[in-house]
Amino acid sequence: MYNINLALLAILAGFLTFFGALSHRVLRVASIVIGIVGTLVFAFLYLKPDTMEFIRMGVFAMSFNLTDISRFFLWIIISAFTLSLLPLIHEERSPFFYLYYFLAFGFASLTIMANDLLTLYMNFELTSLAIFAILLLGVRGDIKKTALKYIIYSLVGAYFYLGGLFIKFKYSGNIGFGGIQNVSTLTQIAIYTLLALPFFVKIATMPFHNWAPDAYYSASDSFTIFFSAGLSKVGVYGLVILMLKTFAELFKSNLYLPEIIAWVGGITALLGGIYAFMSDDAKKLLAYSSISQLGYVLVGLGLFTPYSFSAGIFHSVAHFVFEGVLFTTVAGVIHRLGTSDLRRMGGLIKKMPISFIGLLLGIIAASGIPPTIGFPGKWLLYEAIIMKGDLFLVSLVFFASITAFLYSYKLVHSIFLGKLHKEHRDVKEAPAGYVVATIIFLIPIIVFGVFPGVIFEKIYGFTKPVFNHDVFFTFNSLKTQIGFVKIPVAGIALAAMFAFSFILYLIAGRSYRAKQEDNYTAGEWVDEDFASHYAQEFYGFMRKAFGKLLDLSAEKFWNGVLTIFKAFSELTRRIYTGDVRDYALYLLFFLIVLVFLVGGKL
Amino acid sequence: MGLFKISQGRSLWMVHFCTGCGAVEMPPTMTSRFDMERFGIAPMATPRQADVLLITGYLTVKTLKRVIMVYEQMPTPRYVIGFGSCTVNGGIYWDSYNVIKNLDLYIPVDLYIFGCMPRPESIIDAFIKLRKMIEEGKANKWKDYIERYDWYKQNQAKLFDINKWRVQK
Amino acid sequence: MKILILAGYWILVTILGLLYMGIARKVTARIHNRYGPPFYQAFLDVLKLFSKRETASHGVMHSLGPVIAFAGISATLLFMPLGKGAPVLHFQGDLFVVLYLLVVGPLGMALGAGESNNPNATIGIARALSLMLGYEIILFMATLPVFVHYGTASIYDVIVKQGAFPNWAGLKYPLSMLGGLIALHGLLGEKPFDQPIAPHEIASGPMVEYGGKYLGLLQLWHAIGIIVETGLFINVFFGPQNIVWFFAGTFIVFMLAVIVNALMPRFRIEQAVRFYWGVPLILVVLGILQYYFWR
Repeated sequence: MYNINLALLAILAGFLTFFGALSHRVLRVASIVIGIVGTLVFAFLYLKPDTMEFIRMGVFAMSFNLTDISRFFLWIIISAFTLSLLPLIHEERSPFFYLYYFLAFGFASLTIMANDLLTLYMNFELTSLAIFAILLLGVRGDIKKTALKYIIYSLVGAYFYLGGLFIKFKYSGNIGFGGIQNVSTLTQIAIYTLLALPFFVKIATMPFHNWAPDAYYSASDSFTIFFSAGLSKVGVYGLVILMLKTFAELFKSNLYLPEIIAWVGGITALLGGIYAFMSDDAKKLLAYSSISQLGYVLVGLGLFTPYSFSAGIFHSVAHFVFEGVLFTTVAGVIHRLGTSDLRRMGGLIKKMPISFIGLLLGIIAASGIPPTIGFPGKWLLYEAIIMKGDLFLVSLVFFASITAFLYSYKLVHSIFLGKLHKEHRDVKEAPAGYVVATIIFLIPIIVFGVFPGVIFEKIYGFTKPVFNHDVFFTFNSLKTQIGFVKIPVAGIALAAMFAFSFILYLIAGRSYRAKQEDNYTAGEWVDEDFASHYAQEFYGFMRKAFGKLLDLSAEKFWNGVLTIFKAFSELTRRIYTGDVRDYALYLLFFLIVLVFLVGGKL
Repeated sequence: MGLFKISQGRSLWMVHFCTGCGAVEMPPTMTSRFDMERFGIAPMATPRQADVLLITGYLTVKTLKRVIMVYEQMPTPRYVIGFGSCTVNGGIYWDSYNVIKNLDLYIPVDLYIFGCMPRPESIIDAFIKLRKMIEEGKANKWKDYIERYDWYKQNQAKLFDINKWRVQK
Repeated sequence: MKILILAGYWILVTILGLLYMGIARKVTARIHNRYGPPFYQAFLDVLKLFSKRETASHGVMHSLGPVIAFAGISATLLFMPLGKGAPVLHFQGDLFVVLYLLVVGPLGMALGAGESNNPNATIGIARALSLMLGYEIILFMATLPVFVHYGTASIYDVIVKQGAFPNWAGLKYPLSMLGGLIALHGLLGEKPFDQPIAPHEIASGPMVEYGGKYLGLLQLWHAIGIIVETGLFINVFFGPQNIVWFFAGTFIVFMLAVIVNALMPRFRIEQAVRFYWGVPLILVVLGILQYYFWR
């Protein structure tokens, strides 16, 4: 019982924090710190790879194994969890919140370590349940409706999975990760769709994404960091396992399934980006941004070529890093301001400079600009799609990546640039927990952006057995059949040009610092109440440009499906009327029919 | 630094601020018939980007407040041209209570163009004179505004509230 | 030694860019039936701007905006080959590096202009980013068939593999070339696509609070930007075999843009974006289909 102890330790820490939070604030902080330190110590010292373990319950056992894929994703979840606990020190929540937080982490790590489909299912469901409990302890918006939406989407996905699991068992005789032989392609596609559905819901692929913006909006801010950066990787892990281990032959041989999944991912990326820049709330904007970035991951995974698959997994690591820092800085801002409405913020660069730098590097990475961590995954993805010959798909993905510039600018401008409002004159920098978490997130943004080979090597380790491809990377460069990039050169070029440009700036004349009100207002006198911050309807003119496209709504579609089901259910009301006299009549008819059938033998 | 002076003279950007009725002569000067762009003069949208402020025509106290704001927002070195007879001595409004008769008391003026209104040829002639003044190093009235700032502010204070209508530094 | 060559190319491109800007003003003037400023006017403008004594700044981010913009476009220049005979850092990066570094300039400018505390600046930036939704996708889709045809994503390899006059990619894929030309017009920011600057509507947009040396840096940014953007188009579609042909090609394409600029008014921003999703999109889609079915 080695690796499972991590999860058990987390559950124990959860109860510890629960009791700590019940009693005293200091104990609460102390138990959180013990949780972080304990998890990290255990993870560094005691995790044992490639060991089979079992939890036996009578006849039946849950089996776990820490394979190399599991280790890769487990480290992402552990990092996201510990970094999201740092801001939690400053937030005041009910004791149950801490308990479920640790439980969510514990069950998520068990899910990643699962070694067969049923264990995966059980721990995945327990994770969803813990998240549901945390969403019920949310802080804003319509909490009950949001939590209910989340759990219903998750449950429907999970029941489809269970159906797929039974069918797979019928055809292959086991519930392990191995493939299925001797079935038609159509059946395999059907089983894959059933099994993959809860993971699609988890990474908020359209049209199953409706739970995500509301859930991110109403959940507590530090939990959203873990939710987006860490827990969505459980969904990615599920898809990776299904594609690499169970259905690899299907994806390699079938022409249509990879294309369909890649296009679904591309449309998610595009529409997520469009809804992001149309949002007026910081957390909803980041939620849609997260959906959009996970769309790129789905394109990479779905296309199933060696380069695209590696690009997809690399981009999910990048997503963890930059969404993590974005949510952390926005959480710090919300903590200080008390609002998440973008229209009411502005000019905070003067008060919260470290948060600004964190957010700036986060959006540079989200836009995919070298030499940050967002660039290698996108570069490799474009090359992979072009090598496969899908020119329309690569255009769609490129279009989606342009929307990233739009919502990135909206976010940074509405919060940090522009005019500082009067009521925010005394705002201080975010508390220490947020700042430390931001700084720690910034390190991989640059380091893994310049040296992506470190991560690609690990990915190569577990994708080579399936794809059998050659090494395409070195420590700091990437090479495919059609292109080559050496990333530090881009970084050095930018730095050198910045230095020259700065020298030119310095040797020219002097400049004096002008106040906010000293501005071009066509010569008119203005005071500090003058509304000069452009934050309402930031991209409002694009509504006319998009027209009918913005009326498409997955939520309306599912409400329509719901209405059809309700209508059918109403039909059965005609038989099951709830009236005892009808049931007595049915019984009488049944007896008469029985008499006729059996004849005189009664 | 002669090169800088030549470039300042041959690339004068004016603020597109039409203060009075004399501004009606600006469009003909800017467009194809009289074409002041061949001398490097171009209209600019904001005072931050401009070098020359034209006081076109009569200046009332109400407009003077805005002119002070615009003038102080311009980056140094900056030049002012008084355009039309009204800036010289009040012109046809010499007996109005509201019109500024002696512009020199409030902002430093480098050059006056007389006429009601001056024809585009006069305007271009004035710009060429200004260019010559800049190249010879004689267009230094902007330094006067900085050195005798209090004197100018005292004069302005007789007309309006100088604590409000100034660029707060 | 390598560094000296790179610095030499940088200075050459800046000087030629400013020369193009001056000649553009002359051409516009002649279309308006007037004389126009001398062709070296842009140099005088930049010198005058750098000689300003004291300018206003709204803070560190505001001051750094033009610096980052100029740094971004200069870094992009280092990855853009100037025709076949003049490779710069081309072998260290390909089309996507150029496309993403092209965004660093406007992003730095956007951050600086946002800090201006003037709504005109932010409106200009919002329009500039939305316009990108129009022309960037068309530009990308226009260059795609050419890159896939020659089986490479490196701009330099595309130039080398094209060869001289009859084998130009622009003649093989004429529809893509036309679509790319229209997209280039938007990238350059010439009318009818100059909504971000729009001096009459939003007081020159992002440049509203920039004067003196900042405006000088922005002029230099524009100068290098002209060469890089037209250079991308010329390199992909007309494979110039030496640096002289490169500059001749960029000059012709830029003058075409200037002529259209002198004759047209400005679209509204949503009209501009929707325009790109109309005829130019059809042209580039036909170009891609031409790659698939009729090589």
